[in-house]
Amino acid sequence: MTTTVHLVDDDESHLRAVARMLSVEGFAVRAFPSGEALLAAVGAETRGCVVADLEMPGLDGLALQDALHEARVLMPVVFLSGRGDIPRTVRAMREGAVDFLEKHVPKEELLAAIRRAIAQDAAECGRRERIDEQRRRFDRLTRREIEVLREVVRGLMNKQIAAKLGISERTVKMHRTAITTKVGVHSAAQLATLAREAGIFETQPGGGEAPE
Amino acid sequence: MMASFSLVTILWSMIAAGAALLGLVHLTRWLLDREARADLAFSLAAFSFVGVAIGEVGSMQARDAAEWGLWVRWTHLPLFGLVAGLVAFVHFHLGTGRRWLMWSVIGLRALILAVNFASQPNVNFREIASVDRIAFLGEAVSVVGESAPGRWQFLGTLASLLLLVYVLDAAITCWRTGKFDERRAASLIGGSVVVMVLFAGTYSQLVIYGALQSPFLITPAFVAPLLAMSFELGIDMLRASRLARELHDSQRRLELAADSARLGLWEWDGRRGRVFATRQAREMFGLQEGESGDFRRWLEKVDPDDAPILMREMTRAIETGDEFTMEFWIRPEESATRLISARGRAEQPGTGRPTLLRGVLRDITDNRRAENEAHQLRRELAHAGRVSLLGQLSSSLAHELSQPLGAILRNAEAAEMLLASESPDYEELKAIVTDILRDDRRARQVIDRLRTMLKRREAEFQPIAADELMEDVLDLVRADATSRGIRLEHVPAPGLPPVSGDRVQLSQVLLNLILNAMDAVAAQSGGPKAIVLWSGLAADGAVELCVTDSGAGIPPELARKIFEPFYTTKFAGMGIGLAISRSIAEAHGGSLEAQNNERGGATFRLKLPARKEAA
Repeated sequence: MTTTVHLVDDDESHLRAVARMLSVEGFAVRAFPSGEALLAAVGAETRGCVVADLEMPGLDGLALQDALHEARVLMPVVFLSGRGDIPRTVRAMREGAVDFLEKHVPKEELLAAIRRAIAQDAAECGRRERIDEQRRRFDRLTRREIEVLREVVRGLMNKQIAAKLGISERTVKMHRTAITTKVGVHSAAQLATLAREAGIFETQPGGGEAPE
Repeated sequence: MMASFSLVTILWSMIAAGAALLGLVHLTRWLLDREARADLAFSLAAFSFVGVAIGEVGSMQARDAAEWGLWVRWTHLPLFGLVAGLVAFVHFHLGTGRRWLMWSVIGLRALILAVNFASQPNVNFREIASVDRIAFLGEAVSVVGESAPGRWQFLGTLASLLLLVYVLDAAITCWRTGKFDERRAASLIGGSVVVMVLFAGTYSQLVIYGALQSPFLITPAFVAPLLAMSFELGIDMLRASRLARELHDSQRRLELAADSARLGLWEWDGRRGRVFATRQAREMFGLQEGESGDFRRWLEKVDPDDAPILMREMTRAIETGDEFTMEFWIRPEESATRLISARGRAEQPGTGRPTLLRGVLRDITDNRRAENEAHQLRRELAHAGRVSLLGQLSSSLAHELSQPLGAILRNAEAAEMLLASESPDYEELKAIVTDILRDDRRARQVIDRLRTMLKRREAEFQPIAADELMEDVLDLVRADATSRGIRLEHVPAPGLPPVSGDRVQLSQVLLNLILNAMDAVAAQSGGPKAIVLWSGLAADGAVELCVTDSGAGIPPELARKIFEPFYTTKFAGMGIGLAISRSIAEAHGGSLEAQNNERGGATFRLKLPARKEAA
């Protein structure tokens, strides 16, 4: 998996200098003279991070960040600015910018920020792969098994589930065995956590732990 | 032999003595004031009158016809002077009367004089056979007896009539055109002369033609006009003395006014090389009363650099008769120097070329100091305005500086790493150095621009192209506009004449207008935020530099206030921006006006006169 640093700056000279420095440092670098050019070249699957100038004509840094979100490009963004502008900084951080740096910070700070961003991208990527795997496991459950699972996650006992769904307590036990086999988790608590992570149920079930 | 106490002799002598005295008085006056020509005319008449009186007394005491005739003959000489003096007096005193009539009278009298001495016994008589002794004023006097009137006697009659016409004409013209004083003179002189001529003329005719046996009575007849003339001149003298008093008063008033205005009055008489000056003028130069007459003492106080120029200017004024103005430094004491403004004009006391220079002195040291201070203050204020403007621009300027500086830093870091490697890529290092040098130049340009704007400096006027100036200023604010989402547009007008101005100050005005416009459009609720800079030629030939914004415009109640100092709607800023901008525009001979656009927003219009094409 290659991780690329995507540079965006309208100032050609500054763009070239940063690209040069990062290349020498060993990063794979792609340089773009504007936000529009970056948007045209990346997609949801692109890995790495974005290092963007905050002040640009046309699409400025913050607008670019919004546009990337919209295009489901979830690479972290490191902002560079020629000026210290507190309100913008706050907004940029809230929107998920990893870092906000002034242009003349020492190399080490910039590299650290880029590495943090790449690490975050990698972590986010791994997390999403795990969720996808779990989702695939839940996908093997039948419709009736999902119904039973929902009540289990809510914390109901087998007798209560049987009464609620209008089936025998034995049938409930059968379904539960099937669920634990398919998902690979035994306790009701672990099941609930997993389901929540995979986002199976829209609403979060309340209640305590099911006794067994 | 005659009686020892002759009444005629006494009377005639008294009259003659009085006339002689009056004549002497007025002759003296003429000698002292050559302009008093009426006085000269009068004294001629008065002394001639004495001659006539002597002649009459002589004829009255003549022992025989021959002697009588001789007296009459010689009496014509003073008679000529009497008439000439009289007409001259009328001419000079009344100022009216026809010149040709005057000369006719004098000419005719001269002719009579010539005929008189050419004929025997005189012009009046062809023949005098005898003289009679008759009683006159209680004594026996000689009068003409057997006689025949002269062939040219009619000339005398004509002369009297001409005199009558001349005086009457002069008196009537004077009466018509004059005011009170002139009318009095006209009636007095005219009346007395007419009465005299009628009486003396008729009387003499009667005597000559033998209708009346009597001595000539010209002397008593002339007493009235002589007194009238003397009275007139006396009034003139009275008036002159009143004028002198008024002049003195007026001079006192003038001096008071000059003193309170701190003006020194001076007068330089080029012929005598003397200076007259008021106390104020003397004190200005630190001179004592005794030494102020000497022009050299004044010149010694003038700054050695200015003194030759002053001399040259004064000489020039005297030679050309022009006005003279100059400012020069003086050193009234060793320590202090003062700046003096002198104005004067050459005058011509006589009719020749000007020889008198007269004028005022004013100590303008304090005025000049105040002017300098005001100038200094204006400069400081303009500087403060620029500092404040750049303060508003600081983050945008920081951005402009950080681009090249950031690039330099990254390039240097890259170079450092390349150099640390085993086999440095020299091509890449060369490219890095080139980029670093270019970015350094960029940064320096930003700093130079800043330094120019921040310097305290005197204005330097030079030709400036309006659109070029606008581009320069746009470079300063572009980054700021970009970050605030404002579109900046420049619409140049090709072929505009250049204006004359100080680049920094005019940039300041434009910068101020653009920053205001940016604040105005930043506050606008909807629509695209745009500012347009455009230039053009006004109807009067002035160059216009305009800043139009799409903001809310100027509320009408504030239209007047925005140019006032310390009026501001902003939290930051001193509110002197527009006041300074307008004073800069006016110092350039231009103007700065604001108006709202028809479609919203406002336009600020900086008008500057087009530069006069230098040869």
